[in-house]
Amino acid sequence: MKLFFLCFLFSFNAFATLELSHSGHNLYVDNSQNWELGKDLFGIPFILFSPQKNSQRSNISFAHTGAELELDVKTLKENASDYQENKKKWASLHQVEIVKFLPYKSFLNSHDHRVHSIGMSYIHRNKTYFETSYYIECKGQIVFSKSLRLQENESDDQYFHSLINSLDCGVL
Amino acid sequence: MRLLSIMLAFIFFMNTLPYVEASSKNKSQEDVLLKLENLSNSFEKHCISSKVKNVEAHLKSYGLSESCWKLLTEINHLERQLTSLHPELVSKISCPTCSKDLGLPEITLPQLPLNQELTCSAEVRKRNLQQCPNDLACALYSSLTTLPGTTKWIGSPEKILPKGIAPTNCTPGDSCTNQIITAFYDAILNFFSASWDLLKMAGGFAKDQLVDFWNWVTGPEDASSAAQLALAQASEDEGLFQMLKNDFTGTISNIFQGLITSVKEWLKNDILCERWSGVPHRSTCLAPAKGFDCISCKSTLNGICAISGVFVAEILPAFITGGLTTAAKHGAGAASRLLKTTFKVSDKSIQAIKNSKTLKASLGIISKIDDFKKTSVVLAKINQYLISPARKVAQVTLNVLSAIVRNSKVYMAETAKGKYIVFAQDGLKLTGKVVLYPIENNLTMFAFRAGQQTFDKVFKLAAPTLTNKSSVAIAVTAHTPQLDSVLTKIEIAHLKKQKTLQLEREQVKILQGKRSVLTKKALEAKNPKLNEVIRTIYPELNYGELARNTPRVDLLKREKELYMEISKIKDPNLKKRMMNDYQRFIVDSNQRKTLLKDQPNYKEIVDNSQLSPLTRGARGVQHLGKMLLSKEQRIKLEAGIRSANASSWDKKKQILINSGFTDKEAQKLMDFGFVGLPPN
Repeated sequence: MKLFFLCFLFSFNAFATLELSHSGHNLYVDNSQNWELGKDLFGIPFILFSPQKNSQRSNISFAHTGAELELDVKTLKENASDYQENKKKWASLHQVEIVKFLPYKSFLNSHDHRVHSIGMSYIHRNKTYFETSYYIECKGQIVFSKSLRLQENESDDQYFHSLINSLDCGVL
Repeated sequence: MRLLSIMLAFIFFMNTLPYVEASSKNKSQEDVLLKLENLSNSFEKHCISSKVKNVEAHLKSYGLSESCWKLLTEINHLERQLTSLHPELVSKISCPTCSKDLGLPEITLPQLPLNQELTCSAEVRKRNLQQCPNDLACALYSSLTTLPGTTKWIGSPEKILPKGIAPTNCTPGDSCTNQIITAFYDAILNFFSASWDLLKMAGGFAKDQLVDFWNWVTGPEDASSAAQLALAQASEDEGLFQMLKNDFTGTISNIFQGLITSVKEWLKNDILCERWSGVPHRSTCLAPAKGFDCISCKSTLNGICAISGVFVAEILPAFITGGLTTAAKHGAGAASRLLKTTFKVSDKSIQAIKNSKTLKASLGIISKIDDFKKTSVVLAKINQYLISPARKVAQVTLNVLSAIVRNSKVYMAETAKGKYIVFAQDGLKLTGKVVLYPIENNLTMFAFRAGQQTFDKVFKLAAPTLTNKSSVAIAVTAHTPQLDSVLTKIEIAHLKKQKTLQLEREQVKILQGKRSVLTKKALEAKNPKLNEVIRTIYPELNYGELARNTPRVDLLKREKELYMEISKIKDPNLKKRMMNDYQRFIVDSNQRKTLLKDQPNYKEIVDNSQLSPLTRGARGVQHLGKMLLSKEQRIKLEAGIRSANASSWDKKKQILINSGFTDKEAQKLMDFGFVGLPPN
């Protein structure tokens, strides 16, 4: 039995810091709203789910990619069209209509980890979704995260951002 | 009775397979296929990963190594051999002028009428329906237990089985069933985590060279997009959501049953529908294909194997976002709910499936299968090879390659890692020194066919040039072009690990009388590196074989020349960097210490001559190894050094001797600059 999670909640500076441990890597996010945690769904180590709102739960995934890289803002920005082309192929395979692409952005989170984000909004079965991918450079390694919500659940964006902003990684 | 005859026909079909495989033509094809599989897997592993989305950009950036070229041309050669054995494959194999998007290479053969209906009793239909969940769960269990690493995701595979079914009741599936289940497993559980490999492999790249980043993350991007959308949909039903969240692996069997049974319904009501209310596949099916209820779910799996290309490329991805949650909830009962919304595959694929004799034979819904039987096994294997990602990337590479060579200048590149064929000097990302040989003969298909040979034998090479040149080399060769050829030859010799002494002598000859001006040009180049200046203009100062064959006095002279040029740099930051590098590469060089032993370097002399009075005395005494003397003695010697420094050059030695130094020690202090900069 090689399944390997240790996941627990503890209080820290009035926030609910969630420690996500997987394959020897630790991630920390401030899950102050206590969203529900799903583990290893579709092979994704961690997904947080909002309470149901407008018939669906928003979700945000977290995964340690194991890639040891430094990313370059200029290069990622210049090649963002590759992301768009690949998403168009994904959309056609999944009967999804892309509404618009969310531009590539880069910022530092509260732990000074560089975050690269990009996304899209799309329609699937008459519902409009917003999906944002985050690639976080955390202590020399790349952490992946992706948020997904219905158009109506725009208010969850703030929480997505606070989770990404609070993301830190442990001793690797 | 009718059922019995169908079953006997099926048994006969299965029993004839070994004999079919034994036939010499099929054996020969299988041998070729085995080689092709090995070669294309090797190409995919060592040359271009199937995850590389833009093969053209990849080739233009990194070229193609000689070993990969050989693999590719051998694949091409063997595929031609295959077509000579099996002419109907000509349109599918080895078509360098075809479009880059090869589509799905399902082998299509003339469509046969469904001239024999399957019929069976109501009891058999009922049994098939009841047996289906167990059949599929057993197939899933048997295949997953043979896959490495599954326990990571599913823990104990026994929980896949419905209550009352023991693992021993499940017979192992054949390779085709395993292939379908592997695709299912990868898509549902494994793909997200497995597909970071490409990004991990980029670990050694400089960050501004990660131009393919968004292509490298496509795998996990696609997997997570589909998975998170499916979970968002599932969250509409709280019961289903909690079931998935709390026991995802426990629902795998349900999901698989829902998938296979709904594909079966889809084949019956859409793909093989015999009469439509309007436009086929766009209107209502009025006459679903007959006899489907007589086909067991096990046979359905075999049928799906026959269309594995479409299954993997279109059905499975669409299922995750279109039907997975319904399947998780209803299992085999999901089929009727999923039909219309889930399987919207391309028209091209619909035609390929409709025409697939393999599908119909596997489902047992064609009768004239005698001639087909003989080749069906090999055909299925060829199909498997044709749709494999490894073969696809090799074929795309060959096609892209033949398109590039028509429009680009082609070079053979010689690098530290071996020879490459490359297509442009600009944007080439081969690291380190690269020598480019323009290829003068046209890179025709002949060359591809001759590719089992080495590059040297296939290509007519023009005079080489050096690429990835440093700014220093560019500045120097611009001023003295005759250096270009010898520098290139030296790089080639380095790459081939050959001796360079004669070439460096030739280089020194060209440099004669030009070093000062060339050094000035080099130091004015963009971001100059001192090791490049040394390599290009002062090869003796590498302290290698050339230095060992150069008089000491000349070496010291070169060191001084270089130091003097650096000391003239006006930019303080550059000057500081260059001085530090001079210290590192020249003064502190171990090879220099071995070769020149006690000979002072000019920089040391200058540095010592500029010491403060107090430091000068102490350092001079230290340099001569006189630190163990008494304090009084040392004070006297240090004072002598300070005094000699203040006097004229011709009196220095005597002052030092008078202070207590020997003649030899006094000379050493003068040579090393402790009493001021020597006049010459």
